[in-house]
Amino acid sequence: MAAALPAAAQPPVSESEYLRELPVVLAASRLPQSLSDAAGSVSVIDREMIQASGAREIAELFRLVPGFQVGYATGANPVVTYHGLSGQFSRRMQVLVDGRSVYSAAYLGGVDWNAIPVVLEDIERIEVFRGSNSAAYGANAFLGVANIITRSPEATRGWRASITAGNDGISDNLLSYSASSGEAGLRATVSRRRDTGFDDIADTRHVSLLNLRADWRPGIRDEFNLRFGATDNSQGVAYTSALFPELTRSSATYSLHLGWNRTLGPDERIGVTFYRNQDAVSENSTAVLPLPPPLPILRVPLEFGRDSTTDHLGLQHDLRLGATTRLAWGAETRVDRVRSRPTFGTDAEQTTNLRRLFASLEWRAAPTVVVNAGGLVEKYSLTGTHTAPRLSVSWQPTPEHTLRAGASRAYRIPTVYEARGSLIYAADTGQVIDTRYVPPVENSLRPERVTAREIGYLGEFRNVGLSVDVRLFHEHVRDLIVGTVQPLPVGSELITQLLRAIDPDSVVRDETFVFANVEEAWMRGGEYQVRWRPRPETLVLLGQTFIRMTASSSDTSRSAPSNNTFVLLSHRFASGLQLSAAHYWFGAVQWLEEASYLPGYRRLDVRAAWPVRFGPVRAEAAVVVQNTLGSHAEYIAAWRFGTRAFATLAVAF
Amino acid sequence: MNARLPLLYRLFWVVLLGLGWTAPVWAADPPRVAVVLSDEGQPYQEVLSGLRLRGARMRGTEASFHVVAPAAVGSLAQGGYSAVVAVGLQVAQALVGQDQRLPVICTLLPQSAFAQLLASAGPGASRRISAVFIDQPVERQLDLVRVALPGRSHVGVLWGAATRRTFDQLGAAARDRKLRLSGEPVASEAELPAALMRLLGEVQVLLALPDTAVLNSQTVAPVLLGAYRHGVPVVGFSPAYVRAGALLAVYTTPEEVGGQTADMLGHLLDTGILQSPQFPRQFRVGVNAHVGRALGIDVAEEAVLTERVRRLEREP
Repeated sequence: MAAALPAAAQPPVSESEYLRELPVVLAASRLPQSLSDAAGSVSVIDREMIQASGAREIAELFRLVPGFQVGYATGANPVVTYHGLSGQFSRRMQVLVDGRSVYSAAYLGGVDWNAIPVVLEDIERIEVFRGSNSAAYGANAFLGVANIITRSPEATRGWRASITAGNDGISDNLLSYSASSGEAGLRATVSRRRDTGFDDIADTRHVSLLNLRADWRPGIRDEFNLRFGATDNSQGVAYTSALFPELTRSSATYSLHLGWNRTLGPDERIGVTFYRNQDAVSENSTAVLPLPPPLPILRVPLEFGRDSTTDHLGLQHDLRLGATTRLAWGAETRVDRVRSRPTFGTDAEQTTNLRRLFASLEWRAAPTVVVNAGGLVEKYSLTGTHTAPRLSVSWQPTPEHTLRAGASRAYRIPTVYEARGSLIYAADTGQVIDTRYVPPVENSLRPERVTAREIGYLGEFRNVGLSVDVRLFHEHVRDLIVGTVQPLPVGSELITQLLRAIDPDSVVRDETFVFANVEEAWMRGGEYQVRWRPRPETLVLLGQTFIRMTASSSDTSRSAPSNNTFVLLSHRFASGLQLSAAHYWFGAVQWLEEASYLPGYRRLDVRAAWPVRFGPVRAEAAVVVQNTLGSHAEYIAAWRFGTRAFATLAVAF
Repeated sequence: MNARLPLLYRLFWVVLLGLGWTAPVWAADPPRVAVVLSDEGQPYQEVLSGLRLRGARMRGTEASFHVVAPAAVGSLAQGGYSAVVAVGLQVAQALVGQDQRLPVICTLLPQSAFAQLLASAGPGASRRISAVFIDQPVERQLDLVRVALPGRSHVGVLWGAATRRTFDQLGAAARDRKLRLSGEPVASEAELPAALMRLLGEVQVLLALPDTAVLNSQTVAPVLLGAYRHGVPVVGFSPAYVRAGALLAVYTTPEEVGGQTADMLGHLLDTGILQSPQFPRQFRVGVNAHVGRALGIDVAEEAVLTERVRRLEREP
């Protein structure tokens, strides 16, 4: 209000401003459903929460979502899952960046959080769908879905730079520039993150990323988007022993994401998306095995190189069918190509095809009743065709209260690694040293299947700034694909025993694994979140999860903690100072695969930030102390995460 | 009784026929009114049909409307017209610039443009020139905020050189209504994003003002999207705004503007008195229910809101 504008010889505003047509910006078909109309429980991690949490990377934010668990397999390797069932490669959750799946065939079908080419500063919000929803989000949307929505270049206009330093070798930098005119917006962000990970193990991590986003709206109907991301990261693989030397895993990923949307009317829109994800991972070293004389010294080349390319083409049409019904339908095709000699014993590409046809319908059956029905037909080259339906009914007797009941079925298709992969270490002499896993019989794996039933309640009390979301769930997972123990092929026992004699801690095992659909699991329980904003400058967030998990194996039944709780408090003082604290209580858990059974622990993170303004320059100094209560194990009992403190100075102009 | 009926009948017919024959004799020629449209487009035609539908009478005689091309405004004096209706800003500028005696009713143009026009026309022009505006009084817009969004008392506007006066008027009207008003000046499109973000960080409602330098068909997308993402509802000024994604708008259709113009014209023809410029009397409220639902805002129906705003205006 302060600045005076020149009382220019401005041409007067004519009636055309009142008469002109405008582009339909918030078309009904494009609007997210309100939480009360949604087909399931949705949690939103918004910018305020991102800042208040004190998080340094995306994965950490999921601690603030009920039902989610976050662990670090090593200090460099975060894992996120919903309701357990995850080892260090979390394969049962869909993660999208502006609609692009970050699913990586090269990352064994899991989510590589280090390869997401988005910095926290560029995130507008993360919409988390709690529960399976492959009818809307496709395969991998097995237990939950997270869609990371980036900020528009208009929102980040100008230059931004920040520098972060702290203990554990933390050294992060960010530089970003955004420009926009009415019809086009552009942003380029480069960032680098480094830290030395946990104490005592070799898990130093360097992550560099480049992100480009260009939006172009040439007319009132069309919008074109281009997004390009590249990441380059290296991390110490901490699983070492006397036999296996320190390993560094490096990976380079590229993604290109093109989109075109055309608004056909106030209630109709059509969109075409293409993206390509390209990942290359290499982990090369040589193990030297000093067998007792007169046996020769064995050299074992350790190669875990893999390259993958995913091409995805999708079409979606959103429209209104009459006054009470909205339909979104579409088709997608995805081709994955993976090349990995150590895994497949050949340099030939392993190609898999996936085609999907999906539809979801929102029907307002009565002013207070919304029915959401959806379905997906999916054809996968490794497992054939399957159908995933979903149905939910919401009843909103008053604007404050919504009750919802729903049921769904979803599938997770096996990755090409599970279906065809093997991992065998052999010395340069050809002597097999260790057979980690062998492929199952061709085409014998079936997709995993989950049948979920839920009852939800959403209370929105706007006059007191309070919202409450409760989800009671019963999830039954069948045909869970896990590695089952198999005896080693005859002839390898001798060398295995020898190696174990030299190095009792050796990771060389006297057994091997094969993936099979052998387990079944039930997750029953409830979770809730409360969001309370008593005043505009204060936010209180509380979430709790109770799960009773039963499974065919005791490990699997302990893969989700029986209870988790979080509380986040954030307040902005009149002076500008922002203080926030997040307290977490995690129950005992055992991540799958190599992890240990870990006792429960508490964690307290605090953050203080002080924004200042020097003319056009906005600056902020922030200090974060994570895990102030002492150290705890996140994945393997001996590897401990201690207190971490870092400070960030950010400027924008 | 029976005997008198035929007499009554006869009398009736005599009177009727007499009137019928004589009426053209005692009425003067119908007054001729020139209508000049700034554009051939549909809204301008709607003003014309609003004029014709309502009609204007001079002592009981229907005026006849003659559409005159903008190029021919120079020869209006020779057309035997009693008055001129200028539809749209462009012909209003052309007519006011001329030195002529005919009374002119400018219609379908914004109040700010008319004020600027009148100021340039020199002294005395207001006796000869009046207007029916297309835009709504600021009080009405704020009343809409009050009735549709109770509990949201902090209103924000982006203003530029063209809307600075409107912003001042809003400030006074907001004080009367116990609303808080915050404004961000925007001199050019380049300043818009930063100003918008500052504003959205503090206000509960964004009121869109028509200022091409600030809000136009190119910038409306980032403004509506930004506001939506901040959970801030937008109140626009045209039905297109509601279709585009504003939660609410209060507006008057061109046909309704035409009808009100006909009333002003009728008063002029009948009494010779040109009324002062008027904001639209009739208006309606548009609601985008999808946006309301997505924002989690429970908004009453359009007709209900229109009626409530009307009732507020009738209150002393």
